[in-house]
Amino acid sequence: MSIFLPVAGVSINLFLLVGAGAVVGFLSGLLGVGGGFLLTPVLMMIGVPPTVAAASDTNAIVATSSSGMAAHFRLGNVDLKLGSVLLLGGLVGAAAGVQIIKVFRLLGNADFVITITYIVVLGGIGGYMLVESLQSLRRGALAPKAYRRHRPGRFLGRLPLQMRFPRSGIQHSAFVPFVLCALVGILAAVMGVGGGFIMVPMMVYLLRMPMHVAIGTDLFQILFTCAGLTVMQAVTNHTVDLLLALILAAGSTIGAQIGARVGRLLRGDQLKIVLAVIVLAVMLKMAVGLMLTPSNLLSYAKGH
Amino acid sequence: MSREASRPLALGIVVAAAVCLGAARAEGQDLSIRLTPEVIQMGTFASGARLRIEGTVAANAQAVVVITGRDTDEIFNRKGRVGPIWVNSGKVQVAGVPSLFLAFSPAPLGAFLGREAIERWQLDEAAIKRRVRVRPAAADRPAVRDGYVALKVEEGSYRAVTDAVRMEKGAGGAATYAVELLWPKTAPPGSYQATVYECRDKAVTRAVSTSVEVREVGLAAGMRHLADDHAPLYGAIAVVVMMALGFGIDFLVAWFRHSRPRRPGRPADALAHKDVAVH
Repeated sequence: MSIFLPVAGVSINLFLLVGAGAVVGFLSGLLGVGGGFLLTPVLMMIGVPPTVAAASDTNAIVATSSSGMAAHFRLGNVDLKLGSVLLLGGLVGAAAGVQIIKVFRLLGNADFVITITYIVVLGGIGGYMLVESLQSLRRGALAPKAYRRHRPGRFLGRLPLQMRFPRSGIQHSAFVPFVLCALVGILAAVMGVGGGFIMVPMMVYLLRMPMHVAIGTDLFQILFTCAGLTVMQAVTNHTVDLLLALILAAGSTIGAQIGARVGRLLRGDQLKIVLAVIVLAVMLKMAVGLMLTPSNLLSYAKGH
Repeated sequence: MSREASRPLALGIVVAAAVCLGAARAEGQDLSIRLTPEVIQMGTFASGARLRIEGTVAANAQAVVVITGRDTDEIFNRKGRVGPIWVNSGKVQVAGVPSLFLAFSPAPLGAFLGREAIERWQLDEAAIKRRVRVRPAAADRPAVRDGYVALKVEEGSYRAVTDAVRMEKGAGGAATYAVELLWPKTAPPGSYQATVYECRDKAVTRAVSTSVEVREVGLAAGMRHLADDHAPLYGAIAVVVMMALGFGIDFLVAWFRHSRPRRPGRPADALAHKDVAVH
């Protein structure tokens, strides 16, 4: 059964779209990643024009992250205070990242920089998470680890605007999450993705947030980022296909609910391993793809 | 008028001239083309409209039916080698080729047409490939032209079927032809051109064209209008609808869970927040 997508201008199999949305929604609910880095290429593969795929995917993530965030909020896993600081930092970083990528485009080597950034960032984050989680899991079998309230070191403790984030059990200067999130925002803009798969590890390892709270708070941040991007894409590029987004969202919101429930059955370390494996798999696919001679020298320009 | 803009006009003049020339040679036998339906309507649940193209050609002639879209300019990433790795090494613009190219014939073209005629009337993908204009000129290599056509074939916008046209003997000595096709899902609403080429003695003797209109109707048309003409409102609606959907589904799931009887000894959300310490 096909459905005609008015902005994309193409007819696509309905069940294929719902299925793609459900898989990405499941990952979103389970791990707090937006799924943009997976869904856009899948949509392009099944015939959606690249610019419409990217914009409609962003719109669909608004529903996915709303659903996932609400589920996590009821479980007490959303730190609104810290999420607001992260959101601000992410927006500033993304704006800076867009300017940086413009400079690289002028120099003519933007795509090379983006590709190498992808591999280094994904490999670094995925590798570190996998090793750390496996070690932690092995230790945990003998002596279960309890999270403790994190207190900042001497230098970080002297920074101004010290804030307590009770939901996350941490205390930091507001500058710490702001600057870290701005850096992630720069990377996300350079890589052309939402940045959830960088943000969650950053919250866990650098801000010392518990994994479940990091996922819930990341979904809060993703929701507002994608809402803003949707309006921008609709106004400037006319590439948001609401019907496509609705179909993807119908699948992904249900997937997100299942993902959030499955996530509750897993320990934080186990979730980290799942995320690490996905990140490393994407990195490996990209690295192998770079080495092999492509079957076609041309590909549609995504246009982000 | 630019070269690109003048191309459809030039093609129209060529087709008209061919029609006049052929009419004289056809000794009164009609060359015709008829579409059913005349307008393809793309509603929300349009699952690929069927289009029938039929008509008459001179006796003992073969008919080749070609549907083309307007010429397009498209930008692509071009891969190149940097050391041992392949990365996008720049953009190329591909122009001067139709957005849609569907060619149907009763047999392989070589069986009843010479290569020169195929090239002149651009009746196969190889001929289209030679028509491609690549910018910058330095990037114009056979691999780029091949890549473009391969992409179009893969997405279903270019297709050549050699045994699709059914030829039969008609009344008054003329031959009838008919071809049925499923309108490609990747071809957006707009105006296309269907042309039938009458082929005899290894040459195209006459041609006649008609337009194929593809229109959005119903919800699809309304949505497109909103997206194009009221973009800020459309963007805001898109966000609100998605948030309502997300929160609505969460509400339904929560309601469904709480309305079910709980198993004894297992409080709701017992596993929630399990790795967060008590502060």
